[in-house]
Amino acid sequence: MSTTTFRSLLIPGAATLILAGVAGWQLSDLQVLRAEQAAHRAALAGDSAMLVTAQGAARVVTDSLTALLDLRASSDSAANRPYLVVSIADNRLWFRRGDEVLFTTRVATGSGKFLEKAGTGEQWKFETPRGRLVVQRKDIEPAWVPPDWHFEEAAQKRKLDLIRLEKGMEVPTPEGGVVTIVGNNVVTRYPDGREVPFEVRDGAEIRVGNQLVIPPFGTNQRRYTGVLGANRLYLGDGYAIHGTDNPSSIGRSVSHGCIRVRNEDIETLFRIVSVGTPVYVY
Amino acid sequence: MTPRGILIALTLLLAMVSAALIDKRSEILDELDLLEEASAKAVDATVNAGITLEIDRIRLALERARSTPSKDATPHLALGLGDGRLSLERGEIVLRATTVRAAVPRGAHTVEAIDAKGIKLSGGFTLLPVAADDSTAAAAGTVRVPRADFDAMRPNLAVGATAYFF
Repeated sequence: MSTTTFRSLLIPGAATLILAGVAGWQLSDLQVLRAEQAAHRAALAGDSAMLVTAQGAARVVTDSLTALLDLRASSDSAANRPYLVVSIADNRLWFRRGDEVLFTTRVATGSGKFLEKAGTGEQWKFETPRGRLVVQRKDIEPAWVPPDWHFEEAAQKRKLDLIRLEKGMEVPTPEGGVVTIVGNNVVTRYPDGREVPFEVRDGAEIRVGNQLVIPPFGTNQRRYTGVLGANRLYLGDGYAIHGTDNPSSIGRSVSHGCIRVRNEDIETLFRIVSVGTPVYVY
Repeated sequence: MTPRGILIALTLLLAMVSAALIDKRSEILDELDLLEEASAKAVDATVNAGITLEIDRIRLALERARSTPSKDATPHLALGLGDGRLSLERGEIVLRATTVRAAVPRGAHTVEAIDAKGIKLSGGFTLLPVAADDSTAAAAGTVRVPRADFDAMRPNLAVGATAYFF
């Protein structure tokens, strides 16, 4: 080989050799990288499998938790339907749905006092019953039909005897007439034959001499109007939430067992509380 | 073809192979970056799922404990030891709730005796009425209840009622 030929082959030959060396190193490097790539792929597959397992386990617990919370929040839950709560200790009423207070106001509740039934050894206790009651009906312009204890209490307060008037009875008056029942009225029949019905109200019951008359149920004299406010939510067994003609009693334990509210409050409650609403008294 | 031509062709071929190998290397490095990123995300997500699992597991246990008293239709007490919230409940209805100081373990206990000085529970635990501004730490086995709340709750509980601590 001539010098000229050698020189002409030297540069391309060297380049070939260098490039061959580089390619060899590259191939070896690539093998390392491919091994690393395989290891990373395997690691990712493992990580992904762990993730699926972890997420699956978390989902089971989260789903159980969600179901439990949904169940609690569902409309089937009693706490999520409107209800009334009355605190005897605080003389306060709340109308709630869940934790939300829709309306609250002060009330008067039972005094807790006792009243002896004259001559029987028995007694009434004026307390608001604790427990779960239900709004059984809603009344407009309710009249109060006073129970026997009202007359007993009035008689004891005024140191009078009690007489229970019945149909056909005639109770002589000091003025020469008689007190008797005509139709649905308790009347005074005067000697000249006039019959004048009694007008009664709380504190102005029928009195004959030193006797306080208990009118029979069904007579107009056993119905007091205007003392319970415009509305009443009846709770059964003679108990109710009603208004009052004695607003200064609100906030105190002075009632005979009913739950008294201000007249404007009973109108609000009448509007927003439905029949069937539970009333929890504690 | 001359030897020089062959060498030049070989050089060009090797240069092309080298370029292809460089390209392949870059491709693999890119994928390695992506794989590392995906692995890091998967590990993070796995850790997060594990944390979610543990948190939800604890919440579920707490909610299950809380829902136990709500199945009791009679007046009962429920005390959350985490937040110190004591409530008088009837079924799902919370009649009254207050914050108390308590040093009692979790569990359900029966009311054994009730008077104005305290409510005694099975297991030797006692609910004590205290002043509204009381800041004394509760002694072991006691629950210190503001007097106004104690007095309002007491008449509603009967011997045999349950106090749930959860």
